[in-house]
Amino acid sequence: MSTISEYQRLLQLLLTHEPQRSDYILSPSVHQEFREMRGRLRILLERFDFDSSIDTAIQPPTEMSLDQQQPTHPLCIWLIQNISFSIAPHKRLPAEIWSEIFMTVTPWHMLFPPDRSDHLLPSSATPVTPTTVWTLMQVCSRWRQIAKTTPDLWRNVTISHDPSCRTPRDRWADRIRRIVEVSGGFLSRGTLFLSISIIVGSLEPYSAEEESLQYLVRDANPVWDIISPISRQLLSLNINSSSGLFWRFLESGPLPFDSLRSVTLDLHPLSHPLSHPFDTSRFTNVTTFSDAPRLQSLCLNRNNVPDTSFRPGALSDLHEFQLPWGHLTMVMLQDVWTTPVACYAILSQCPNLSASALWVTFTELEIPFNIASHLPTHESLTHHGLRWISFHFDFPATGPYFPDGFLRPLAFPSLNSLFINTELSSHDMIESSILSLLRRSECKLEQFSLSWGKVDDEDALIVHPDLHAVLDHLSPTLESLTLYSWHITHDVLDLMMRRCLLPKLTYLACYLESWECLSLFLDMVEARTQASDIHPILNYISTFFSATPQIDEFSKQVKERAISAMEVANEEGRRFDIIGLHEY
Amino acid sequence: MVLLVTSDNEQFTTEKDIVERSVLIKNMLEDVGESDQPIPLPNVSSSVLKKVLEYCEHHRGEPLPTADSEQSQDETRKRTTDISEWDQKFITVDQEMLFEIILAANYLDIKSLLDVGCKTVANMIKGKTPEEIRKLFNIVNDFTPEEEAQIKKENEWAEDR
Repeated sequence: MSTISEYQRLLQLLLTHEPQRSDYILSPSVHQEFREMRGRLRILLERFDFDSSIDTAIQPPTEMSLDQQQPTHPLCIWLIQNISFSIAPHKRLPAEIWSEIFMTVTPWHMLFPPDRSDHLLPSSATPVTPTTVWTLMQVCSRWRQIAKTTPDLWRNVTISHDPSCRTPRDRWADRIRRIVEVSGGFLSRGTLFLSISIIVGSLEPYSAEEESLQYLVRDANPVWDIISPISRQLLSLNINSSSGLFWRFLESGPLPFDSLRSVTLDLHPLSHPLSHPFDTSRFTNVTTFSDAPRLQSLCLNRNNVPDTSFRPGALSDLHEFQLPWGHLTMVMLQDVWTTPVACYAILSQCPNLSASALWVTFTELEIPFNIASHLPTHESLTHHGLRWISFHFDFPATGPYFPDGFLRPLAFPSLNSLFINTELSSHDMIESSILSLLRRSECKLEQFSLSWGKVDDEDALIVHPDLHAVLDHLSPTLESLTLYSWHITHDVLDLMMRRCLLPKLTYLACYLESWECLSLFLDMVEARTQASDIHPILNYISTFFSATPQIDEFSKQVKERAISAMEVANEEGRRFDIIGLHEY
Repeated sequence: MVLLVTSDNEQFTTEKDIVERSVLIKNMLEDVGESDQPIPLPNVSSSVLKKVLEYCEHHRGEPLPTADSEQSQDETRKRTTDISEWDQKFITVDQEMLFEIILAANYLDIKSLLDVGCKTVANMIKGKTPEEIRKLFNIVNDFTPEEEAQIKKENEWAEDR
């Protein structure tokens, strides 16, 4: 330090103006002055005798030390450290650059309230201790402010907590109140569109005991409380659960969802005494999304959770759900069983639909055959926009049969991808039903998947329809074929090997029932994975293999060939799996 | 050739196609047309400009990012912290220089260099606790009592899990 007055001026500055603060940016000249002072202090520090008796703990200056004529050793260290805080390089970066860095370092999806373990981080990006926006907000005042005012960090938010954590009953209500209060504070600040997932189940108490029940029965509507202030900003919304709180939100009346494009409702019930069974009459009261002029996608998922309260066809009045159906381009029902009539209603009232998954339950044999009376035109239902459709058929009361009558009025001229999962009886003429649908539609399929029952369900495999005519019809355009329930025949394999059948195929999933069949299959794969100027190669193959358990010389050879073929595929970057081969 | 003058009055002569990775300089050159006038860079010191020019020279000829390509980067790609081997070596500098390079890249409008700098800082932050981050960047814990209380609340939530 050159003069005492300079030293005292520095002390005064550090103590009164606190340039150490993260949001205090020094002017370039003061910055330079501080650097020089630090250099001089370091020289001074070197002059001190490093006696072990000196207390080197870093102490802020006291009045007494200010009166001293030269800095003591600890004070010297304190000054150097505080100058270093004041001129730290990080302070020079403007807020917008820190925002960029924060967006790079945090996962795209933020969990709220904060979760230290942050399981939503992709495994490849998971550092030892995940860096979340919450970590950044605990560093300093400036970072907290920058993180809070970076809307991109708050765009994809899941409001939840780990349901495995059993919040004590007396803290539960307070917890919801705080989540609503604080999430509202964060979410409503941004002006950008938001994508929000709300796990309603976790907002519920674990016990239906009196106190919690009373809380529910009173006026609690936390989902509404979270969403209503930000409804105009929402781009996508995912609500999980079928509980009382879920219904309470759905029945709370319309909200202005000006920007909402996508709604996903995960209806899976929790094993919770307050979970409501699905009540079809409720759908007419669901008006929450009636004012969503940009809504394009509706997904209802039940996630295969067993639920005795869920009746087959419970969503027969799904089409009564008050939505801008006419705008929708995607309706996906996953494990949410509707009825044939509701299915027709959805297809009729959604002319802009381009993709749909419909799970249809047939409770009466005669319904499919009289279905025409339920159609608006009483004749047929031609949907010109659908490019992708997946049907799941279920027959809880009638026993399996293929619903030819249900398909008969339908036609999809733009169809590109068709997926059918059904049950079959040995009398069903599935091939003629499908052929008829394809011919009526005059579509050019690129993807086709057909399955009945599960592969491990032996009864399902007893039914062996002849699919040659269907494959022949699809042959010119098909690129992806999944036929797990069908025993692929030698004739088909032979034609495929010579590229006389399905020449454009790149994806094949099928079932092989014998060593002879596997051997022919390997010949076909070998032929179809050779480079060709005209045709693409098969680059994704997945098969189930099941043969008689006897192993002879031939089967040993075939097995070795198969293992080798899979290794070659792996080396060449193709996918080739033969599931079940290792059991032989 | 283009003549650049740094904040500490040092002059650098460099080729046009190298220095035109800077959108700021490119625009300036377009504005003044053919001229021998030096371009002043009052916000960049000579030591930093030397590094910036090293970067521009190495990446000479590579296509410049366009507005379209920027937009096409999806959220996930934006959030990767991968840096090429050469860039990694180039950016292995002390913290002061790292931040100076980022500031210069921002001022000179060299998007790719700014990305490298930001990703490097992001990698330094990754996986660290707030205390470790403070220590790393010489940041003082300067929360107000209200902020401390809010943080305490947030931590209570995390501990509830």
